[in-house]
Amino acid sequence: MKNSLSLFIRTTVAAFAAAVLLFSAGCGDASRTAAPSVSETGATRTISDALGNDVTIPVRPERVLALSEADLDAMLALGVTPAGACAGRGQASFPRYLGEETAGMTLLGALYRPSVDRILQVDPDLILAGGWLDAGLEEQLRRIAPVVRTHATGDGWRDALRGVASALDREAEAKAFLSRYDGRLEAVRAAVGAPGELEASVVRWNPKGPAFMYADSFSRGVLNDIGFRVPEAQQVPGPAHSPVLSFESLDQIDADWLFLGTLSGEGEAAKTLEHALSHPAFARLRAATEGRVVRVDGSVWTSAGGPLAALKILEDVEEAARNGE
Amino acid sequence: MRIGAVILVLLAFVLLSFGFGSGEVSPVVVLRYLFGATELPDREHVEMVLWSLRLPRILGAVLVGACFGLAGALLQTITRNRLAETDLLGINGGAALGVVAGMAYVGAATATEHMLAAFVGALGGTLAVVVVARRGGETSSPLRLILAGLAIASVFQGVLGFILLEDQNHLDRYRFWVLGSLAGVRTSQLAPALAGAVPGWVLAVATVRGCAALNLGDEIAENLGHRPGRTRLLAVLSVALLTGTAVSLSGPVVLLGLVAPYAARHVERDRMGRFLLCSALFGSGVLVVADTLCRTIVRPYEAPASVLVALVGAPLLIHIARSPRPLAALDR
Repeated sequence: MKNSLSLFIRTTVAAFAAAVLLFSAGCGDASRTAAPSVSETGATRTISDALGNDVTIPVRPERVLALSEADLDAMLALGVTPAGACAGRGQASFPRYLGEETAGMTLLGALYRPSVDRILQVDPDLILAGGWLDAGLEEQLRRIAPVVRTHATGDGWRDALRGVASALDREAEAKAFLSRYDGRLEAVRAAVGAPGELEASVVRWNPKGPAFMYADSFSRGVLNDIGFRVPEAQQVPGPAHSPVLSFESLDQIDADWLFLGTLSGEGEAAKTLEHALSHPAFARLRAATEGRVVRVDGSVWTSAGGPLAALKILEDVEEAARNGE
Repeated sequence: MRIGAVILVLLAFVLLSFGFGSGEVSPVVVLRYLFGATELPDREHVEMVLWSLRLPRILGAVLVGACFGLAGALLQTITRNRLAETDLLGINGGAALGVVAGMAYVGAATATEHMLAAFVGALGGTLAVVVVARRGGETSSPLRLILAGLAIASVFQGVLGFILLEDQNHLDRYRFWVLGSLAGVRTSQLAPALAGAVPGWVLAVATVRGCAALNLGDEIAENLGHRPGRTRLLAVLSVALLTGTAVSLSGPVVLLGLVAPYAARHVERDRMGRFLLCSALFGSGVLVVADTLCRTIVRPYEAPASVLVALVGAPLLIHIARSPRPLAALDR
C-alpha cells in the first residue's frame, strides 16, 4: 500500500513538476538571461563530488538547498544556513534537535520527497544532496541548479561534512569542527570512566517490541568513537535497525548503558520510557535495575544525522554519565 | 460431542503454546516448572516469561481469534454469503482507520481509547457495507456485497494512507501493528479488551434464533414471527464490537473470519448456536497456533501473525471461489 501510494504521489509530483518546468522553460528563459546573477559576480568553479560527477558550481552560492539530513546538519555545523531543506525523518518539520538554527528556512517537504514546486520557488543556485536520491528527481533538480552529491549512501557523518565543506569551500571550518568534536570526545570519555570496558545499546522502542540499531548505524559510530563496546548479540553489520525483537529475547538489548529512543514528541517519549520500565521483561534488564536506561531523542539517535547530531549524542552520553554518578 | 473435541483441541494448542517461545525457556523447562521442580536455574525468569509474557499473549490470541471467528460467522449468516468476512468487507479497514485517525487527530493513546476508536471505525465500516450493498430493503446479491466491501475497504485504505503520509510518527507505530500481531500484549490490555468483547458475544447470543430463521430466507423468517431487519442490526452491532476489540488489540488479522466459519461448518452446520460457538473456537485455535509460530520461526525476532493466517486463508479463499457455486447463497 505504502509503495503504490508513494509511487502515485511521486508520479503526480513528477507530472506536475514537468508541467512547471515546461512552463518556466517557455516564459522564464528571458528573465534568466536578462539577470545572470551568478555569472555576473563572475565566479564558478568545478568540483568532483562524492559520486565522481564533475559539477560546475558558484564560488559564492547564496541560496543553497540541503536535501538529506546529513547535508542540513553539516551546513549548519559549518555556519551556513540553507535556504531550504527537507523535514526530519518521521517529523512534520525540520529535525527537532536543530532547534532555532532552522529559523527562516523553507520547508521543502518530507525527507526524500521534496516538492519540486517549492524548490522552484526558492530558486536555489546550489543543491546539496547526499545519500539516497530518486533518479527521476535528480534529473529534474539538475535542470534547476547544479546538484552536488556530497556523500554516498552509507557514508558516515564525517564524509558528509567533508563533502558539504568542499562544495561550500569551507574546509577550514570543517577542520575546526572536527577538532572541537575530538576535544568533546576526550571530555566524554573522562566522564564515562572506562568506556572500553562497558557495553552500550541503542534501542528503538515500539509497543510491539524493541529493535536495536545495527553496528554501522549513525549513533553506533559515535559510541564507537567514545569507545563503548557493542553487546555480542548486536554485532550485526548494517546502517539500519533490527526487526522487532520478541520480549522473551529482550536480554539481547541488555548492556551497561541502554539508550532508548523514539521518534515521537517530548510528552509521548516520556510516556514511552515509563511504558518500557513498567514492562516486566524490561524491568529485569541489567541496565534497568542499575538505573542506566537513558531516554534519548530518536530524531538524533535512531536516524541518520550529521556532525551536530554527533555532538548532541556526545552531550547526551556525558549528561547521562554525570547523572549516573 | 464434537464441540467437546474442538474445545479439547483448543486446550491442547494453548498448552503447547505455553511451551514454545523465542527465549531460552524451552518446553522441557516449562514442564519441569509446571510439575513443581524447585532446582530450576533462574526460576524467577521462567515465571516472568510464562506469566507476564506468554500467558497474556495466549489469552489475547484466544480472545482475538474468537472475536474474528464469531464476527465472520455472523456476517456470513446475515448476508448469506460464504465469502463474507471482516477483512474482505472492509470492516477491519474501518477499525484500523478508526485507530489511526484516533491517534492522529484525537490523541488516543490508551488501550481503551484505541478500542473505542476501532469500534467507531468498525461500526462505520459495517454500516457502510450493509447500506451500500442493500437496495430497497432486499438482501443484496452476494457478489454485490463483496464488491461493495472491496470498494469501501479501498476508500479506508486511501484515507489511512493519507493520514500516515502526513505524519510518519504514526507510520512508525502502525507498521508492525497493521500486520496483525500479538507481540507485546500485556495483562493490563486484556481487561478493556474483554469489556469490548463480552457485549459483542452477548449480542451474538441474542441473535442466535433470529440468525437461524434468517437462514431460511427473509420471507419465511418474517412468517415465523422474526424481524430480519432487527436481527441484522443486532448482528451488525455485534460484528462491530468484536472487530473493534480484536483490531485494537492485535491489528487486523486477514481472512481469519473466513477460515474459522469454514472449518466450523464441517463440525456443525445446522444448529446456529453451535455453529457460532464452533467458529469462535476455531478462530481461537488458529490464532493460538499462528502466534506460537510467530515467536518461534524467526527468533529472536517477531513474525506477524496475520501473514501466517493468510497463508491458510488465501488458498481457502481461492478454493471457495473455485467451488461450483461460490457466490450462491448458503444452502440453508
